Amino acid sequence: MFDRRVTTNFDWTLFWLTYAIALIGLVNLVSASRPDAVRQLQWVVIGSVVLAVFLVVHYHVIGRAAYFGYAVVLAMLAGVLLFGRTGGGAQRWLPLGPVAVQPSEFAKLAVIVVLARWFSRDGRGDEPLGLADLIVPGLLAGVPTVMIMKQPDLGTALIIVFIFCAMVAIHGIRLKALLLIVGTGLAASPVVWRHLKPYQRSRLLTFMNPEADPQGTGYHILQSKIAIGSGRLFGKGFTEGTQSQLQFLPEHHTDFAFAVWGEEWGFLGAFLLLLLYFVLILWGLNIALKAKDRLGTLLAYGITAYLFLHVAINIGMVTGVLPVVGVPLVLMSYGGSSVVTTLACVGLLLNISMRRYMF
Amino acid sequence: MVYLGDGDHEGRELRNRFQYAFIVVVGVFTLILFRLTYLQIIQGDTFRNLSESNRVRIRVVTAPRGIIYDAKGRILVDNRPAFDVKLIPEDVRDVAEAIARVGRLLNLSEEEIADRVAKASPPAPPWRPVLIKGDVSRDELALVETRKLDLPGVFVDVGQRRAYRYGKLAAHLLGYMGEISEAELKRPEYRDYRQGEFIGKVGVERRYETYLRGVHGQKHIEVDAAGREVAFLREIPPIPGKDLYLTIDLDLQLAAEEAMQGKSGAVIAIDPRNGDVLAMVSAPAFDPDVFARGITAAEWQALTRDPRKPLNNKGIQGTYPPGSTWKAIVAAAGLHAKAITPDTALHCGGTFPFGRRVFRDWKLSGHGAVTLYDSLVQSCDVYYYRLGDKLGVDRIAEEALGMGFGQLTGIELEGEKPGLVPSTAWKQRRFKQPWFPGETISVAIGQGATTVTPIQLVNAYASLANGGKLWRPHVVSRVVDIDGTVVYERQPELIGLTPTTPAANRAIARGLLGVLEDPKGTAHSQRSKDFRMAGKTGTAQASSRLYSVKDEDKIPWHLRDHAWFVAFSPEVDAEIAVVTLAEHGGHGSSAAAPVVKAVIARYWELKRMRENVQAPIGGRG
Repeated sequence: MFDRRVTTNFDWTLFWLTYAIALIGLVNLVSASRPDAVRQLQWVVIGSVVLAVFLVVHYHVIGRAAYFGYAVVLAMLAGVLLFGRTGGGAQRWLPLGPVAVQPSEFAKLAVIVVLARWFSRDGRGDEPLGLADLIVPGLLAGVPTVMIMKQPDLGTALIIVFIFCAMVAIHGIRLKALLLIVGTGLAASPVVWRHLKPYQRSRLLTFMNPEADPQGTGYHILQSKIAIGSGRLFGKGFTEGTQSQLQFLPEHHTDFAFAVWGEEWGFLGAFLLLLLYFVLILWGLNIALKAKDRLGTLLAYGITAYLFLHVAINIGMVTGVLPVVGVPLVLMSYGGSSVVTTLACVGLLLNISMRRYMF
Repeated sequence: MVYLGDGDHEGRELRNRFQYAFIVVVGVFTLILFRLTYLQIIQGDTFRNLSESNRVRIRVVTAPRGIIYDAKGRILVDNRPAFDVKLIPEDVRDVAEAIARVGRLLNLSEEEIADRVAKASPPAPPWRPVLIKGDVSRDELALVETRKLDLPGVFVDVGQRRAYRYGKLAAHLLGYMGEISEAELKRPEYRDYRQGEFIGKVGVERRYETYLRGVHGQKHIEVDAAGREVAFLREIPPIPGKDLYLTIDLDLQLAAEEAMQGKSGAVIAIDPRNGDVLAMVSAPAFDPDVFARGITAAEWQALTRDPRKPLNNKGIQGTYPPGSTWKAIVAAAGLHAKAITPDTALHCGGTFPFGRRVFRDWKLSGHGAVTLYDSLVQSCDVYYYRLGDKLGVDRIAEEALGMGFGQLTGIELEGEKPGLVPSTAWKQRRFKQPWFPGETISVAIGQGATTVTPIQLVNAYASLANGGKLWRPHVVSRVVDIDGTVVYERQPELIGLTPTTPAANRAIARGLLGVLEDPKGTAHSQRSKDFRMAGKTGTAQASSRLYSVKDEDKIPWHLRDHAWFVAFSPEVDAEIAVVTLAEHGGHGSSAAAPVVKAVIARYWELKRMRENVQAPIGGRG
């Protein structure tokens, strides 16, 4: 299974890109919340071990274990709903020994792997998907999505839905099926609206008109925009960001970490970080394109979609272009489950990348 | 094989779709870049100005704490304005130097100055005000105000403090306030409390904290980079705390406090009809105002080191041997077990030989033929030696437990003690030893291992005069909202019924009435011609004294006996029951009974004044 050729083909670019971003994330956390920076470092170390595991085990083996891993994650999600710990108004945490984990983060990876496995199974061609072909994958993505909505965690549920859409899109879908789904979605939106929690609704409404209530729900967005904008070209300097240091910024170490970075390092710092993410995502797409089989392509593509969606939604959210839905910025936001999942994803990407030359 | 090879139709399709993916990624990143350019380059100066001048700070507006009233609606505790001197660290160049300057002006000790400097240093945020001295006097206030220019960063905050209208009155019951501790901040019930906040630490202030506190408001203030207030944005007004109405009657409490003047011990008056606590004194008391303005280390040490334990609420936390007051309980056990009837006469010759020991009566010549009535009136020891011997310790223990001893009464105040009712099972458990029959003889007259709290004793005696009902004592009758809505109303709560029969209760009450009304009664000197009361004296050994001293004044204070008196009035369907324990006070009849008498007398006097009702008068023939 493991071959010496593997090391010669190791994807150092991807590796260094990932750890460069992780390092920036740690530096930023030192400014935002020092004790969390130390804990985040511990999570990066733990995540690196997980990365190594996902790198060494051939991704075919991981593909074969897809349903098992998926079942474990479902069990954990059920555990959260039954006896999860509450944090920040939602029940997202599952106590596991000394730490509490957020199984909804693991669910993202589990859904990617299980969908890649399903869409790459033998005996089916590359025909565009019809409605009937969407039933099984729809259920595979839908069950954890509903469970995560129950917590409630709108951001994560949306990410899974988007990952599903992205994987269906790359596979190809019949126009008729697409129109039908979009139509039903629009028709169902009033029902979904009624099932949203009041705070989720108010965030969406605030997004439409953020200046309406600067001291209430629009506060987050406004303060975040002030933080980023006030960084100007060169930033205010490390630990000099008044917005974050004076606690005007809410959750500045988690979902709003990018605003801290933008305030203290300015446009140049934000541009650098954006560039790193951009190259990372293009690199991931390239790995997907060059993978040696369909499973590798779909896995690498799904993971890249995961990275892209987090970056796009989170930065869109903190710059005031998208509603605040609670999506972490990979490797920048504080959070053990997110860091571990992201590094597992990168491990899998490296896995696919270095095995593309072997037959 | 080459997957996604050029010639492969399937591969070409997928490649096409990947091109779309690339386009989406490039497009989104371009949009983000535009957005950042807009925010940081084009609007950068605007946002920089906003961040520097438009800082919103949130000031907490403390909610006025609920007022505590007595049963008749008279204010016992409310709030008064207080001036706190504070400093904002980021407004001064040298925090330590600035604090030292203002600290010396306000006569703070060097330790206190060091403590404030530590509180003002990182990791504390530099914009958060640090309290230098709370509740300063008018003179100190003037001192700070006149030197304002020399004291940058220092400002005076108007806060509020608890005002205890009657000083030390009912201090233990009302409790006191104190700064929330680190340990308390971590507890879930104090989740939304801030550091430096004052909370109820003891007594009613603590138990009813959630009602009294109210909901703090917020003031949103725009401040500039230097922390100066620029504009007032909006205010979320605080919701005042809810008011408490106690069961305590201020007039009765004042009478009890006055009667306990100079003594050490406890007085509790309850209403036997429902468990209302009408007065509760623990002496000596502390001054709750000292805590309200922030107690100093020296003051705290003085309180904790005082041998008379002023911080203890002795009525519920002090456990003492019950002495002769226990005889009523042993009598109840005897009647219950049918070991005696009220008319059974037991002989008292002044001594009771048991095994190789001889137990003496307090009256060496003896009482002769003694019935239940005589035994209580004259507090005959030998009668109870004999009765105790007949019953055995476990039947006494069973009766005592049934009357509420050996367990908490459940009064809504912290730190109540259960006392101890010895039994064979207890001794086996505690000492791994069998019970010796000789020990029962001591237990029968309230000595030995038995200990009770004053609240237990008065509650048990009240049950003799209310048909055997054991009410849970309580001190708060209702909680009222700011708009007058009653949010909580205390209903009388029955702990249980005592095992004694109504006939037995009546027989014992008759004997207790004789203690005062019968010329032979041990407290006959304390009877009143204005009202009838039934009671019992008790003297509890504070130390195992082996010698006899004729002149009691020569015994050191802390070795003198505790004096008990517990009584209710009138002797049937009593309206008030009062207990007094005078620590190291000597005899029950002389040290404790006058206090009880004063409280009961005041009760009837008040009732007469308020309702024009005559107290049940009259002696026995």
